[in-house]
Amino acid sequence: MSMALRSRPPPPVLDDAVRAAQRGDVESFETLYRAHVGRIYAFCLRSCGDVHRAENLTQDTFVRAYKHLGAFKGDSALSTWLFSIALNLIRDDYRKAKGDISLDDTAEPAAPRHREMNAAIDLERAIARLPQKARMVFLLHDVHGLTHQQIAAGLDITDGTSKAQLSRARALLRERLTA
Amino acid sequence: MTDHDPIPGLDRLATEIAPGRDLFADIERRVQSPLAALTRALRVRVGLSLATAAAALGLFLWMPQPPPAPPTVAHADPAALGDPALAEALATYRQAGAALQKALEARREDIPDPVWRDVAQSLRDIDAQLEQIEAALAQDPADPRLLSFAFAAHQQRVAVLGRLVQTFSRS
Repeated sequence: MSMALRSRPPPPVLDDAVRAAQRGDVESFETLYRAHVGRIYAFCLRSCGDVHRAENLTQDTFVRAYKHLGAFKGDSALSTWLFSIALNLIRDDYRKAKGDISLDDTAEPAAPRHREMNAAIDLERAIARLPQKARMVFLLHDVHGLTHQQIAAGLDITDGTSKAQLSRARALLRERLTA
Repeated sequence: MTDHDPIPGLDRLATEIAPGRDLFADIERRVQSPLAALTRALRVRVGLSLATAAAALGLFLWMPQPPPAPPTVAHADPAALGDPALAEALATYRQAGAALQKALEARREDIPDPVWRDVAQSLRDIDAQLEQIEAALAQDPADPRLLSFAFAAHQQRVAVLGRLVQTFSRS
């Protein structure tokens, strides 16, 4: 598994790929997949902490994206749209596993089973130990750059709740990283 | 410490992580109709098959000619496949596989017994698969899944043989 530091914005040629993929061109869709899979997989992996589930969630995200690509109007970045799909799938995955995510959910998830990620990275470990909702808000906002408005829409919460969860996540991370 | 203080290490956190395996093949299979997927796959596979066959046959011609070896697989009638390109591609695989098998048998005494036994077992497994696939193809020559399986089994056979021939040609 390889990691890349913060991503650059996608090149303009992707706009052409989006249009072609909307017409059903699978090769163009593969171009979009290659451009975005790293971010979507990173989000899925950190959200669920399991390589196999993260792979399935990533695949489901792109399959759903392909099927609904005609509905993508370009009002937001394609990556934001893909994150919203991934977010819904992750929530469904949690529901199936443990019931819906509750804002009162303070239980820490089990430590990630995957060993591919560098366990020595304190921040990765600290993120993995965040409560689910706070972890997702933190990842989407501070790691992947979505706005509170976008996160709130994806999680069916208010902007204020999103901000509160982010604040909670940051406080927990600081506490654990400086302990 | 305030909410705006930086999180230690956040600026070095990877925003992209590559999956440990390529996930797109499964995605493609799920988004395409079986026939469309096969058409696209065949464009790649026929190209690969011709390149592989050319390499295999080139290697075969370059090597000393071994004694003939009997074919091990009962083949479906290529003409029954309907599409001449498919029939030709499958026939090319068979020729490449047969040529590589002959070349390998000519190197028999250079190959350690345990390796030879493993190779023989692998080939028997692949050939057993191929016999089933080819028999099914003879019944239903246009079934895209069967064609896909046939190409995959032939590719596997050529790959196994090709690697061995190359390995023992160097020694």
